[in-house]
Amino acid sequence: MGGTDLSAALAGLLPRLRRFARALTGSAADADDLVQASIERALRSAGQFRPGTSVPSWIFRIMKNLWIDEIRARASREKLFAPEALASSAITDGAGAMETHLHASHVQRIVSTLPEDQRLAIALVLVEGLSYREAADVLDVPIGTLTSRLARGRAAIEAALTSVVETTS
Amino acid sequence: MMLDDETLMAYADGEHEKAAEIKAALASRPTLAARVNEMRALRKRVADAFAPIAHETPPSYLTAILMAPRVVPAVIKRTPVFALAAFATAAAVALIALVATGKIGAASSKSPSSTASNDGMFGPDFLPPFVTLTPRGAILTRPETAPPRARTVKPVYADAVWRLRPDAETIERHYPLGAKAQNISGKVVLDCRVNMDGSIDCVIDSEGPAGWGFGAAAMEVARHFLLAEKAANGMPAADGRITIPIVFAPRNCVASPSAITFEVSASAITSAPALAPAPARVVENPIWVRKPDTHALARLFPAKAQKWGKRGHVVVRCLIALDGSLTNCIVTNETPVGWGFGDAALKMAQQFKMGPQTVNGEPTAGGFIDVPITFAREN
Repeated sequence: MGGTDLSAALAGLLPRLRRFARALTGSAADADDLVQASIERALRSAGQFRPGTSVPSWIFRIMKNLWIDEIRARASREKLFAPEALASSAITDGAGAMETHLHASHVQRIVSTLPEDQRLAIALVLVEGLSYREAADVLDVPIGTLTSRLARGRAAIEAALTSVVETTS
Repeated sequence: MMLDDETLMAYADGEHEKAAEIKAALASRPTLAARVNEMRALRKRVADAFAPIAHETPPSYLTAILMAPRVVPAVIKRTPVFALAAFATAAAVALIALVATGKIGAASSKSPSSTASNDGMFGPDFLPPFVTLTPRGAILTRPETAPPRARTVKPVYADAVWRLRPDAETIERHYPLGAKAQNISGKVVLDCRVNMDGSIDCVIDSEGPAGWGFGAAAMEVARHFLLAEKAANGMPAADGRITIPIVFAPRNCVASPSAITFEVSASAITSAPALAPAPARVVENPIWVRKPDTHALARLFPAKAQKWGKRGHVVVRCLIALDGSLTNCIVTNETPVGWGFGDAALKMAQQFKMGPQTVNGEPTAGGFIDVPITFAREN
């Protein structure tokens, strides 16, 4: 990447990448795996980085694409390994969910239950502080789409927070 | 002006271009102004929930990916790397100079532990500096830095014979990415001790420029050295000490592809050792009497890679023991790195065993073999 040091830039971004990955995946283990896979991909495709564009946006897009690939692959794997494997993966998922419950705050947990597109919008704008324009670019969607996903995601989080309050009080 | 939820949200997020207008409108609409405050509070709440993650120290394996080796899909070469010719032609992207000085306790060692006398003599500094003799006995004090390496008391020998040396591709693979991107070359001097099996354990004696990961890269490269049992002059190598300068130098472009030049540091040239007089034998077409089965593959498949559906390819280079088992294995190629495929392949190599002769009737023991291992799951 023309004169800039991509490795160093990514190293500086690591804390943010891990945070974004956690918001995206909802699990600590998946998050670091995703970060690992993403920085490997980024280093391999360093030649495709256009100087002058934002490194965070670039790596966030890589992470988004990898994660979407990953959840699709997991879905198809689960379909393929019927029904025995499905049962065992359900057990694993259960343990994973429990781990998440133990470590994540209420809000983290609620974010992890949002639909993928809303979660991405929330993670990019509310967690990572990207502007609407930047977030829309990362997701390759028009800004209006980003705005409505963000609004729906927020509404869902608000509703979930309210219901938690209602059930616990 | 219409003040729907999306408009208020954009305003709350500081994204609405008509912020002044909205602000004025909100002055007379306390319910909507409260709604904006709620939205801001929610934003802060979500941001705060994830903020602690960004304050954690990232796991070292993530940092390591960015500091040291670069993942390069490498071509698997079956040619022996020991011959100088192969060493020169293998220069793929970078030209790397790499010469090991064949002297035990040779010069260029700047560590405080090796300042004094010649090797082979007990010098006045023989006692480690953290031992103080007093009338009441020896007092051991904790050294401020790492304890100095135990001094080798062997006569100097020359002409180290290498059974295995990293080829240009191997060094290229470990070239720190950041440095490579900026055409920065680096030199690392390793201070190494020779183990019984000819492998070496090294510490970084000097590294320049610092901060680019050259030291860590050189330590990785060091895993690819293996010395013969004896030097050319007959001295046993085990327990000896050897200084290895490793130079990472970017290839000076494609201008004249025919002119292959190695950048070699002057001191290295003068003390360049003879390569193994008889290049090590590479065994091909062995007759396997034992191979790891699918259960072993399933057991050793790195869990994380499996979960992520990662495939891996590793080539291990091993010395063939008298009984046909594989010893002294090192990973010469690992793609992708960081997923545990290399370690798994090393474990798997222990389960191979070959017959005393190849298909062509050549003896196997004492030779080297490259074992390619592919980790792939059937979906």
